[in-house]
Amino acid sequence: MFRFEEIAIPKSLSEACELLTEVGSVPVSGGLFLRLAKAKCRKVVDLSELGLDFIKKNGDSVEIGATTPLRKIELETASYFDGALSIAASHILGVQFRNLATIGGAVMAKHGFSNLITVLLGLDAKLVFASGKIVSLLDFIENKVEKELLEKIVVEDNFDKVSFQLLQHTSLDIAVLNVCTAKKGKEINISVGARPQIAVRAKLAEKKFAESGDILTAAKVAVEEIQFGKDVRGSGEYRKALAGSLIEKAILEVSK
Amino acid sequence: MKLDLILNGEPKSYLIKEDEYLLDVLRNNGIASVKRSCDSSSCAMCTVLLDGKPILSCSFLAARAQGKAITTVEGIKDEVAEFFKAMNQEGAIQCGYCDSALAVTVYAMIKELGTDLSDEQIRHYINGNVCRCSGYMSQMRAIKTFLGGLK
Repeated sequence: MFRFEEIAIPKSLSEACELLTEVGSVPVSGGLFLRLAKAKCRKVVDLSELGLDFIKKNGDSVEIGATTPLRKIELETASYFDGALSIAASHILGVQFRNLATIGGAVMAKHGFSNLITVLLGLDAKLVFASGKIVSLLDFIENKVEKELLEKIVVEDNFDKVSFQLLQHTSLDIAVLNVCTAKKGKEINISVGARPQIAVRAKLAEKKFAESGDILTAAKVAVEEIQFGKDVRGSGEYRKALAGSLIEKAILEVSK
Repeated sequence: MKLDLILNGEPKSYLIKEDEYLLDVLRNNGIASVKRSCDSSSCAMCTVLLDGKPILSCSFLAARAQGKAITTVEGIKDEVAEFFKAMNQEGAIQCGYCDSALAVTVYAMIKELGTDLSDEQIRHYINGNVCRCSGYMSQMRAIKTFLGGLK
């Protein structure tokens, strides 16, 4: 179990940022995995009272506060992104879990199994940090970002069509594999997660699809360019075979 | 540290450790209906309502409950009495370990979604409530009987 000596519950971002400069302080959002963590720290900075629990439409953009719970995302983003983010959230454990787990917690922890990261990556999401720094989710995943406090996630809702696909062994389990495709004109974004590593974009397949519009070829290229690993839910070979059909289905859905 | 909250409609104060979880605080203070099982956010036996919303008390830091309303099955006894009757009639009460959490979840479901619910909506809402005895079919029948009685 994660142990600590002190808890602070700041009411503003600036107060939270200041507390997090203290040696031995750790930010906690939903806190759902604290019980499983075998670690110690001096101070936990709880982020739940920062007023970052919001979903706002701002022109073509949807802004989602870092501490927005997954249940709220499930219920309130159904009319955005063809419901892809809402569906992705709805497949994460039970309603009790989703009332506590936050989108910021999922993103900042870079969980490989995350449904949300796969969708957000497919949608070219941007992360806005308390420092004012704005980083694309792709950059955040591919590069090390210095210790930053996430304020919100900004996602453009201007794709022609978005699709989210996943396979779970049971409805309470995490995904064996998840896929998001987002199409705008002839261009397509393809992201694949729960490999079991963190989601990646299938950049060669995206290029191939933009050139040819051929669904099967794009799916084949994606399967070859992405690395698949093994865990208790499936082997790399199983995931690779599964990826072919999920990616094909996801491209087909956005091409209709 | 001192924790002030509203437990089942009554103001309460507890002395807690900073890194204590709500489940431990409740159980250490006589609320035995809230069960410990997986202790890892997976089974929902520890479900309580936080300002009306079902959450996992095993993974919720007690300090975060400061000033909040916590409801356990003890606080909604009258509201779920007919639910337990329906569970009994349908043979859904087996070992009984998960029943309180299910009752709290069903209560929250009705508050959030109403009583006119499809099987799919019910299944989706109670999806997190694990039961190792009933096979879920008898629980589904009991929930539908209970909802029918409320209409």
